[in-house]
Amino acid sequence: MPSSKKKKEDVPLVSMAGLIRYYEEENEKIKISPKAFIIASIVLIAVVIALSALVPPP
Amino acid sequence: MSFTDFLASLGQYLPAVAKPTQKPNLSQKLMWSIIAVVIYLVMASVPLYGVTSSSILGNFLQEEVIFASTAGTLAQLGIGPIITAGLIMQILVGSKLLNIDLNTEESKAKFTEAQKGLAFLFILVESFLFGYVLTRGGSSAGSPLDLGLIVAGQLVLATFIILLLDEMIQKGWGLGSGVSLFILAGVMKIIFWYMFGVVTVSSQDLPVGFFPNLISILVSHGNVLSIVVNTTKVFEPDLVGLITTISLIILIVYLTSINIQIPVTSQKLRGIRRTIPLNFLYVSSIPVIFVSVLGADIQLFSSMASYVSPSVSGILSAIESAFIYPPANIPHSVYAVVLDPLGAVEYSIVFIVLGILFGLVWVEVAGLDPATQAKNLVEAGIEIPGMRSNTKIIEGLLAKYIYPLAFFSSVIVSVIAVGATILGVYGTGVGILLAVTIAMQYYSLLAYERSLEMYPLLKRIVGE
Repeated sequence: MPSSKKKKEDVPLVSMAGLIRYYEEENEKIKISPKAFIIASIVLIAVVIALSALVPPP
Repeated sequence: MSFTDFLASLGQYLPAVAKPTQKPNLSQKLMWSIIAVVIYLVMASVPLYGVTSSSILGNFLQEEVIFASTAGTLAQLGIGPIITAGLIMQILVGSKLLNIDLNTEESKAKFTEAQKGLAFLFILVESFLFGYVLTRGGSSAGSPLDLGLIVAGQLVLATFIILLLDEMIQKGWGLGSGVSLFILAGVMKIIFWYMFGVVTVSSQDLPVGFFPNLISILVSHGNVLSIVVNTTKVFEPDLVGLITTISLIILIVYLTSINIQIPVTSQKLRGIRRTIPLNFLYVSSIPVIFVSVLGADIQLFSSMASYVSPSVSGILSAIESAFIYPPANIPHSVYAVVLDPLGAVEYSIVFIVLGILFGLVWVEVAGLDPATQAKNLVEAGIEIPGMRSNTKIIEGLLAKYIYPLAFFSSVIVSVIAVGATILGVYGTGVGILLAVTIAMQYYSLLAYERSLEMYPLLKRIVGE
């Protein structure tokens, strides 16, 4: 009888929009924490807003 | 090195969000999901630096729905590159054109990495094309290349952030998938605006909403019949659209609750008889998503090609017309059928036929085929009363249910999407179908997560 862990690994991670992704194994070389990533996102948004407000496009 | 290996290597070297070391609880998951949606919505309202309102390349409503994109903003590309790359990879693997065996952990990881690598390539190509297109005219004609690079740089960074937001949620920090959340948020925004919007947002084709329009007509003693069916303006929500929207939501909720019950027994539960449900909408809204992504991609590349290569654009425009209904210059209401009946027939046939094809391919790609399902049942110790616990025998029985269900559910969701669009539903037929199915899946997911938190023993049973 298969263990519950084995059974879980057999199920593909299907997103609700129809994309299949598997994240059991992580081979990525550059990993960032979600906090750092969220801060980076906010910085990008802030820079674009500041540029639009302070520097007119050429 | 094959192209897939190259894409997988690219995917490996791109920054990724780390998986949580400890599974977050439900409130933490909700918090990360809300943060992701808020960031996405903020990006969808921040204009790109260097793009003026006159140079904005208007997205089609269908494109905005399926790609959750907003023209002229940091979310100009939305989830387009992610969903396009995923669709291509899945079709290639499902049709065996790409030889990846998804039964080993190594190939599963390679498949996911290759999807990410391909999505990044799409981000680069689309960003630079948009950068070129959005800045080639107007007052910036003196230095279009520099400005084009600035716009492309913003799009690359912003769209890659969207990719990572989706990855963050999928890796377990949030609930479900970012792609679904962003589509849901985008459709809800459009429906809300079509009902209650008080001003017109011309760059996003958002009109004054039905109820403010109705109040305005009642106060000014205007012709109330004019909002029953819109026969004049391209975008104006009418009563037929409102009634269709409400009816469709009820219909989809009803259809998603229908199941075909297959009687089984389980060795684990000492032979107790129970049933396993097969959803009547077996392929959910997937066929509609795939057809819409194909149509939206053709529209996207056609509109960009018109600035780069008129001959290519001509070919793409001819194909694109079969995916667009109603055409851009006539009212987006049921009245469009009177003005362009042939277009309605062509759109319906193309959409439904492709929907069926994609639905059947999806069954094989997603492991919903009888062989995989039979294997899962046998491995889980589940038997069908009166039948030997043999994969081939169970597969034969399941095939009698699964293929007809896959065919008819593809037909049903495609007909619903087409019919709703023709009747002028708010947020397009595809949008409503996606929003309702995604919302219902989130409801189930929340109930599941909540049950796990309330009854910790369940976590051990399901292997969490």
